[in-house]
Amino acid sequence: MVQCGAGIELKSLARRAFAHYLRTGQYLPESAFAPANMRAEVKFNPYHDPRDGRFTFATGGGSAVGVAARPERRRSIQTGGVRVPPVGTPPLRSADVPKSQATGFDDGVFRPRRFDASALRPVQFEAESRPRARSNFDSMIRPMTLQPDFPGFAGAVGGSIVNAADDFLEVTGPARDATMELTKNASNVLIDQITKIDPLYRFDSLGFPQTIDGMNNQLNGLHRDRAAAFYRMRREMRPLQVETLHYLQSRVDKAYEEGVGLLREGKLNVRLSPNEALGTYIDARSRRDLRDLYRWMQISIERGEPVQVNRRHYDTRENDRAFRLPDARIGKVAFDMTLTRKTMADSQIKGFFNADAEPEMVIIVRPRQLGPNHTYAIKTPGR
Amino acid sequence: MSRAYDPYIPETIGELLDQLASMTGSAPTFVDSLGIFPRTIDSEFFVLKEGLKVVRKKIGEERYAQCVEMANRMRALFEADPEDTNGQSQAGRELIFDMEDVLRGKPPPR
Repeated sequence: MVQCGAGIELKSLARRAFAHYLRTGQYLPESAFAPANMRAEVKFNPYHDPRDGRFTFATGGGSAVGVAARPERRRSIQTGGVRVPPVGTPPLRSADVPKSQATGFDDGVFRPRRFDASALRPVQFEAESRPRARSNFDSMIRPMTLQPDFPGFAGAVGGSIVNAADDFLEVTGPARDATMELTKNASNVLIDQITKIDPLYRFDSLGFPQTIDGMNNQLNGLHRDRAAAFYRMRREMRPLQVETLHYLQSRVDKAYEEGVGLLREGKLNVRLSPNEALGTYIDARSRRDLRDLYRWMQISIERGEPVQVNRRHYDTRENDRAFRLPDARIGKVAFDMTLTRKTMADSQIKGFFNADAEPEMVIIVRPRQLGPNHTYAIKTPGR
Repeated sequence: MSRAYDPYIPETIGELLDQLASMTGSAPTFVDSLGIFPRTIDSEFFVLKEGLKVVRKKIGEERYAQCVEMANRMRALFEADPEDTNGQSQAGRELIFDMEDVLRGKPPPR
């Protein structure tokens, strides 16, 4: 719906009449454009919801749930073509009902004066028979690709930075208000998924955890087991990339907290600067734990394997001796833990992309304590 | 994690340095702060000594013997100060820093 009027107040009547003619092909006397006779001009746009002017996909095709609007066709069919307005709206007068509707035929033409806009319902809208109970079950099963952690990465231009979802650890991690029931269900789902991939998998447990932390640890452990099973049995690396990112983030956060405490108490070995000492501590601590994690997951990190921790990545096209040392790499995704913000302008990042392994994505993992956008991905240039 | 903990043994000097840095942060109890691995002082010094064996050839007998002796001393220091209150744990950390220098091939520690 487009309303005109305020913007043409300064134009002469003749000019307004001419503009109207150009726009509509309709000759009207100049007096029709006198301010006293002016009415809001309403123009129908099938792609706008007449109730609120918002954009819709009115004429069909892909529709956004809850945004698009169209006549309730299913209801028309069920009621023999007579629209039944929602509860609470006044009934339509017989004169307002188009002839075509009266005969049970909907010609699909929008008639603003005859049509009750309130009869429009959001596409795919279904009145719910009962209020939905909020469930956090879905949030307890982590996605198996990095896409939800870096929304927008697929459409990003090469070399650009894509920030991780604000609270990706919370959103995709086990829900905070996890209950025993939900945790049991989620655990069973994960165990089922793992045994389908690896029939010999056996979930070892000393008993169901009684604390929230214990339940979260159990779910995190099962997510890691699932990623390991996918990698070992099918060489599928994406779940492992997700689990590595989540593990590194929690590890880096903790190492930062510990490192700051050690620095404050003079327990870190400061060689160049406190910041360098802190960064070195975080890197070393996280790498060591990552190696232990892969060992636990029975994933080899020997040279030549797709999973590497802090090994030389050579660029033999430039120079046989040129190499970079990403903290970790899984297939085409490299990880680097750092305190400073790095971009494509850094020779280190360029070097990662130029390495023979040709990563498509470098994920910069920084402590959450450093503030928003701490962790982000850089897309390989030229893609 | 109820499976037996089978820690990763460092294979290079760089990996040993990562192990030492990790020990700096978790000393004197060496408990894993994330609660994932059931680490103890035994498991940590097992990893350190096995890692030293792996790089023994690379660093030479003299430096290897020096590192093993330092490892024994630092363990005793950490065991003598499990609450990190009487200064012996800090002395153990200083030994870790000295061992890092030895592994890097820097001049012998003070």
